[in-house]
Amino acid sequence: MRVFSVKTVVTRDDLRKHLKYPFRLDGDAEKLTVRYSYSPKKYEGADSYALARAAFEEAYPEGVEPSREDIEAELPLNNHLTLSLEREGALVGTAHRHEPVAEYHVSASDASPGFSPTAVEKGEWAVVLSAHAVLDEKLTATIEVEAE
Amino acid sequence: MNDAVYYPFELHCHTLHSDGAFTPRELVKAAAERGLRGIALTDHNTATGNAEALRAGEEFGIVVIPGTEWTTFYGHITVLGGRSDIDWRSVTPANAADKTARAVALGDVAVLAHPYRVGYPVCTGGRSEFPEEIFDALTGYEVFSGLLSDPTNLRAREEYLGLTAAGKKLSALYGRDWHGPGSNNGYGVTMLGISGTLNAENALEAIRRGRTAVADGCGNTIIITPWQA
Repeated sequence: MRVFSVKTVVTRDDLRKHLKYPFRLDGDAEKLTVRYSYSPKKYEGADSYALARAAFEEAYPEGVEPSREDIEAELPLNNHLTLSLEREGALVGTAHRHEPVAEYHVSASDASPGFSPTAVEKGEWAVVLSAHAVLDEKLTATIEVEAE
Repeated sequence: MNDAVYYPFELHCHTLHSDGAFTPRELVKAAAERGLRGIALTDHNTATGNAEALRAGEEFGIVVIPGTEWTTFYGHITVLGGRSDIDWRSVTPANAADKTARAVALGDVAVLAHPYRVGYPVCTGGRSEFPEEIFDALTGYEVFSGLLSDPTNLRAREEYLGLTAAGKKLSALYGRDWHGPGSNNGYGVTMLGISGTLNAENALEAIRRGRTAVADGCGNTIIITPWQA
């Protein structure tokens, strides 16, 4: 049964923020499944090369020029939102991965990699999107939570 | 008297519990096949792979240090030992030194990862933005990261030598930031000077005591921690 869903927009102003989407479970369940997606993943802006080059120049030692080949190896740049799950304010886990569409689950005895097995008890839960990279003006993100 | 024996370790590794390609068992197997005597598992912002890695360590006969990598927006810190349980999202530039000191007080070892890696938007937090106070709280510093020839390692080395010359008790460490199968050419290892039994606790103690060095793949020493406790 679907217990929560949201379609939201993440903007450049949200960069370096943890965006919390709380929901309440009214009863205990065996398993919680969380699906999320965001788009676009790849940043296609005309300033991609310049942005990457600036990052290289900040990190490289003085007098060492980053090569075009090394910079282009990092293109296209990517937007990156990671997903965490909280129960009663405590972290259940984080999926720090790069795929923009993913599904995770938790139950008392098992959980997707990155998450700790956790009893799916009634109460306050939250999905948290952490905005590691937002290059486009806005990203569209969806979250769906099912309890069974 | 220093009765330490030096063993090669890889202290910065990822699995599919974050964005790596290895399962924890595959990682440990690959480390053993490479001739390493130990690893630290440092998945991004999770410790859920540690149990499998520890079992694999027993299976393949190498030391596994449980850990995680705080992969914050502002810099990355590997936390080795598995004793602290600090929510990575709570770590900010303003409190990073306190959070790190807390992890160390609980028995973990905290290492600044790839301090000068190319940062945002290529790798968020790749280049450390943590304030100087962090160096009083950390245990170690990745003087070399990834490919030994990466130019950003020159800046890390320069900073490390300055910090230790100023009296900061930071161990010189290497971090491959190992994410999956591939050639081992061009990467290094951390040599840990271990007293007594080769195990995780004595490996952590080697880092705390400055009994560390970074070596290339042939075993040639590149840098040694310039102090020992």
